Amino acid sequence: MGSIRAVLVVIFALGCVYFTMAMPWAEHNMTATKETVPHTIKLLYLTDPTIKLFDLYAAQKEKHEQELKNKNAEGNLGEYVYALAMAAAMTLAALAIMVVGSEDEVEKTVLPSKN
Amino acid sequence: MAEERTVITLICERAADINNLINDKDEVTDAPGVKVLKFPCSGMIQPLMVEQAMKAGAAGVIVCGCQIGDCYYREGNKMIRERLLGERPPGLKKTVDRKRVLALWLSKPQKDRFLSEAKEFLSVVRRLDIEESKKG
Amino acid sequence: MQEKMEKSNIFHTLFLEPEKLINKVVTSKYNPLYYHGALPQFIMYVLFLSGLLLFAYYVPTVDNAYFSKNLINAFTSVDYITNTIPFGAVVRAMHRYAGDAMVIAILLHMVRVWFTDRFRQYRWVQWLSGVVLLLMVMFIGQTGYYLIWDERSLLLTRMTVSAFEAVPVIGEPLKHWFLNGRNITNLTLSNYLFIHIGLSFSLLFALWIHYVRMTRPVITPPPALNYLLVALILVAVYLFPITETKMADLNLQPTNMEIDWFFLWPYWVLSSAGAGGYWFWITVLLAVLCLIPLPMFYGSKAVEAAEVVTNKCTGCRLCSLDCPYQAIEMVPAPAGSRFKLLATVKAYRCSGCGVCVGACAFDAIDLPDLPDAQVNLKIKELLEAK
Ligand code: SF4
Ligand code: SF4
Repeated sequence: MGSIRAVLVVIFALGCVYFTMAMPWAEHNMTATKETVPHTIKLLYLTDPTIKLFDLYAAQKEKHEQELKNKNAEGNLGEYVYALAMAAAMTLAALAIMVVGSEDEVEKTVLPSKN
Repeated sequence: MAEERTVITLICERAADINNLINDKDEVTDAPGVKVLKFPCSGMIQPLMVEQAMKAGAAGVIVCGCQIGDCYYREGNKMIRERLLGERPPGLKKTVDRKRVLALWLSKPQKDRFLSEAKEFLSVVRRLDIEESKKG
Repeated sequence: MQEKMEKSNIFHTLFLEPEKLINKVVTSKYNPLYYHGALPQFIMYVLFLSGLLLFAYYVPTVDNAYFSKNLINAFTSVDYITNTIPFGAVVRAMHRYAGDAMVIAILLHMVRVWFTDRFRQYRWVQWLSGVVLLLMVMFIGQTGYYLIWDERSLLLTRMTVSAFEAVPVIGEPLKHWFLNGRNITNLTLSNYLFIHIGLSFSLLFALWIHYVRMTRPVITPPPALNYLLVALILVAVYLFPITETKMADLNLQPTNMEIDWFFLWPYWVLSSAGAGGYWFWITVLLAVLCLIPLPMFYGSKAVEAAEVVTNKCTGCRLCSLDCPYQAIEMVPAPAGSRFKLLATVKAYRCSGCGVCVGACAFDAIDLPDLPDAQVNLKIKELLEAK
């Protein structure tokens, strides 16, 4: 794999993880604490870095809330942010897959030699 | 040195639009020695036709269909690709030199890609010809 | 050929250029334009799933004689889904925007099929069933808006009734069918729910007809594209969140509403052209859509169907398996033949593509325009000419 592709895949994958972690944060209405960290994360002893991530996301909270309130959103606002985070994570996952998958030559087929 | 043998192109008329590239003798002007035969769909090309072209003295065969996934008749290009690769019957005979067969999947506007690939392929088979004539 | 290219300049900018670009960036494997038919199919699954979740909590009644606190009807159940069920609002919004995405995807499919000339001759069944599918999707989407039972639903219901009433002779019965009675009652919403869900499942039947003449229809886009599609829907969920609406009150007459331009534009036609004008335009539109594949508009020459060389065919079935339009049937070979089966071409389905020629290892099937023998002759000629 070309090194540019490898770098791109890593970037997309990391971005995907970043936004995936925003999902449990948003789920609790954008207020996350040690208690609300998902169980799997606790099992993996990743609570502390996760909390750090949560703090990062927390800076966005007001902006999202304002945005949604301006639009008169009904229901739990955090869940809309969850949807957005999920969209970002899925997009990045898709991009990573495409970077890997589009490496194959598809406009030309060279026949493998027989013998 | 052996005389310069011809490369036959079997191409779908809806794939790369190479009408402007060929002269009235069905030869690619910028790559003399590459001659073109058109089909309604690349799916019509039989491996048998490739074999027969080789038997009749072609130096190599280029098969060209549309981009995979965009066959006008739905899946002709996939079929000939699978046939050439031996994944769908009827396949290509073992005796056919695989190095002398090239398959391209190009959409209508991609005539430049066709030309560059054709030129490259031509030089490859010419080299093969020389090597083989040396071996005897 | 030449003038065809000129005619389709719009096609160039609309499709060929983006197509080229996408192929360059992500290769044909992930080019959504090569999965235009599979996209609506995938969105249908998204709609089925999200719809199932909504259906679990939906109560199809209009009970609102008094506005008590514990009132349970269609509106309050939707309200409950939105505010109380975890992710209820998101699922609701997804269901709504997946519906819009469905219309967009179908239109893309339609326009592309039109511009690439893949809708007529041996494909007219696909085109016509496609028009029917579009009609069904439109109506399903509209019933979805009735189900919410807010003021807009009431307005839409009354507008629909007025449109039905304007139909001569069968207007009254149509109205009764639609309202499931003479007036809006609980039964009306049951009817809506039945239409919404029943028609959704009938889509599968219509899709079967859509696919019946195609071998191996492409119905699943690659996963990466599916992720992107769902992501797009989710972004719409965030950008256009569900907003609070007012419960329908049968004693009031709401007068204006927000229009969802994908599904509710017919109501815009209805309100600006009146019931008569509405039926006129809808009929014209449908007629045009249905007449599009008629051959006389194109002056193209008829397809020359493939022909089987009866004494060469070994009955190996390869051609019938590969024919992309299910145009070859294997029939018992005539008495005296060494083989069991014989290929026969159903000329009315044949596209003249020649895929069967490529499939036959015995030179037993030919296009009348370009038989095998002629191909080989031409190859020889090309090789000999200097
Ligand atoms: S592929 Fe050829 S031999 Fe086989 S059934 Fe078809 S026509 Fe007959
Ligand atoms: S030419 Fe052959 S493969 Fe193509 S549609 Fe007709 S019968 Fe089927």
